[in-house]
Amino acid sequence: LPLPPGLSSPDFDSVCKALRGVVGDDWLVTEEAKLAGYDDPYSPGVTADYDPSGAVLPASVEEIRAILAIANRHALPLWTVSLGRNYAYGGAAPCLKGSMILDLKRMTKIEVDPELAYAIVEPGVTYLDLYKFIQDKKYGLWIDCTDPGWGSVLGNTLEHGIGYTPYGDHAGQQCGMEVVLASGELLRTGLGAMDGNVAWPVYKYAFGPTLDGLFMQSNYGVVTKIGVWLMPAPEFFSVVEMMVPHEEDIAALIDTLRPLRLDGTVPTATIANWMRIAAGNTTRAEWYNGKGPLPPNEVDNLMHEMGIGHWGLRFGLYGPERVVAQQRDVVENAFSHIENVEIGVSSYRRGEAIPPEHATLAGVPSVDLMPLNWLGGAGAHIECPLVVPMQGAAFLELYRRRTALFNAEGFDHYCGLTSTTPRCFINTGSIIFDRNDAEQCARARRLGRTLIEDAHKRRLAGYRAHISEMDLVAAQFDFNDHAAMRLYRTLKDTLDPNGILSPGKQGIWPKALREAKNKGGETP
Amino acid sequence: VTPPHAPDRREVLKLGAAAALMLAAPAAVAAGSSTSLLGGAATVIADARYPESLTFAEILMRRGAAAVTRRSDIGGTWFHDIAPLLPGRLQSLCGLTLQSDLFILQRLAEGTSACTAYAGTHDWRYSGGATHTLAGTIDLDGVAAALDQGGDVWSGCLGAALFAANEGHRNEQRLKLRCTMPAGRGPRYFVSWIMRWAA
Repeated sequence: LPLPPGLSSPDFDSVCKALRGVVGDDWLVTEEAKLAGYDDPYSPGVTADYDPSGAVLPASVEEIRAILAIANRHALPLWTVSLGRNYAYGGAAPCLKGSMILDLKRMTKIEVDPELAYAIVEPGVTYLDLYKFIQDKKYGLWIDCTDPGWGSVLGNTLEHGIGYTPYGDHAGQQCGMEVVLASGELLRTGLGAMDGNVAWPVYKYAFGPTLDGLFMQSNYGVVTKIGVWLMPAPEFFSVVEMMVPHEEDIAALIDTLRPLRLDGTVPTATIANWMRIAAGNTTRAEWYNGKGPLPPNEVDNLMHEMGIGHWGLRFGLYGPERVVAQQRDVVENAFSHIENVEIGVSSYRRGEAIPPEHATLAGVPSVDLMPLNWLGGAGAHIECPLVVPMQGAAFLELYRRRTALFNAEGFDHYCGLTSTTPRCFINTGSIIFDRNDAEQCARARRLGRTLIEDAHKRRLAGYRAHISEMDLVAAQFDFNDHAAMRLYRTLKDTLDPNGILSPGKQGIWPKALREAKNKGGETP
Repeated sequence: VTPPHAPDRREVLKLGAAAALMLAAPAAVAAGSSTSLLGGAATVIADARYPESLTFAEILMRRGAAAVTRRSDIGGTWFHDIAPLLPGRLQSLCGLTLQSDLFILQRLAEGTSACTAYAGTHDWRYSGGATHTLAGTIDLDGVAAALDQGGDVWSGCLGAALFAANEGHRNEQRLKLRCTMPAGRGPRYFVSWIMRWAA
């Protein structure tokens, strides 16, 4: 196992002894077999480059503070994870090899206020846990969950994760945050900065600067608690699903959707291409046994046999029955102008059972990873989802270009568009590969890098990236000679002068490691 | 969207016959010995989308294993059907499934003292025969022989052989073999596996 950079083996033993003194013997992990659980399960052949040296699992804020004190004393790099299920972006694996994982999974407290419709959760709370908690208490509230729902609510929110209900912009529904700074100081953001303020989880701002964003996708502190707004269970819920047959129909689909998203008729929406639909239900071998991407005639055959179009659009409408009925009329009238569109609607009253295919639109978490089986083998995927404006023609051009890039590396183009805010999409383009196949891993890595570089040429960027590509994406934010990164570094050096918290996260490296790199050192 | 390939009726009949064949297997193969991993409180997960998985489960069911039909998501199967049996009421869990199901189950089982005693991949996505790669602490020779002779009824033979396989080795054994390609449409890539909990 690697040692933390700069620490000798005796130093590391001494650090481990001190950490055991804080968390107990059972909650410091240094055995190789157990640490394998912190490897990136979807690593495209680069697992060894991101091996941790160990993992420490505190159960409380006090234990975190004690761990930070030890880390500061020994310059021990810590890589903070809530549960480490940030799959496709590195899982629990650290950017800096030899980091100690600060695993917060033991912190699992949940509080819910059913009247004001919010929850306060610790890092170890999964979407499944929060859903069950609310169901058991019979609160009339819905959560919004990712798909799959086994990840941390807090972790996903900090990573700007998304879901499929009107509360799908998770960072947008966060309100109130408790953070331990690298110094060990504990702070609360927003109105929580006033001891005992009862409005802390219901108003996002405060008297002064808004700090919450500083602790999302960053390495400035350890977030130990967040407030999350919950959606009142609607009286009525309709799922609208539609398909259009041709690739070029995406332009009309998007341009029809945009005004409905802007005026609030449609609260959120997801679009999937043929492959995303096919991979969610079948495997590639059921359609084609050649190598390389499916030829166009085979794609046509697949769409015909599955009864799907090139694109599917899906969203929920939520509210009183009469309101939803009117929204449905508006929606059907708008989209019926698209040639050959097929529209289907399913509706549910409050309390009615919602079938699995519509569960995520009702905030019901599940755990399934069917698309990983697309190619067979040990399925994995990596992502660098772009943020794209909601404009049909521009997206069609981008889609065609990215399809050509996927196909050039021998992959089918898996494409999804999710609109959790009304003016843009998060454009997922999963690169699905067999992680046991070295040649496929190499192609997947190459394609990932190509997609990121191609996006930059079009002045588009990913909102998340795999740990192996964080530096590349961060470097693309180049306005005024990377002024934003200069500020991020200033903040890093001020808030975490010893550089102990998640070095390299989102391309933000502490001063010592930046200087080592400038001198030609290997790290980072 | 409804999955497109419901099992063909002829395939089902053929697989039914395979199941009957497995039931008539010699006693030495049919009966799990005292050291068989699946001889105790075993549960098998059956994925109704795939005839191979159903046949595998049926063979084990007829030998005394409890069967659970995979729900629409494997997480639901874990939380509703498997986790309530832990700890104590489940010693072994097995299945012939898609790879992602094993991946998820292994992670959901973290913290329950589970270990994967055996995992095999069965791959005939491309022409040129089927490749089976087996790994585990069980005696793999019988499993390999069953696959070698299994032909189109390989999944039933595999189920019977895994039921009969003893826990034979302290260290993991690995074995790779190539066989004739089974007939039928489908994913043409499955994983057979046994997870184990201490009694």
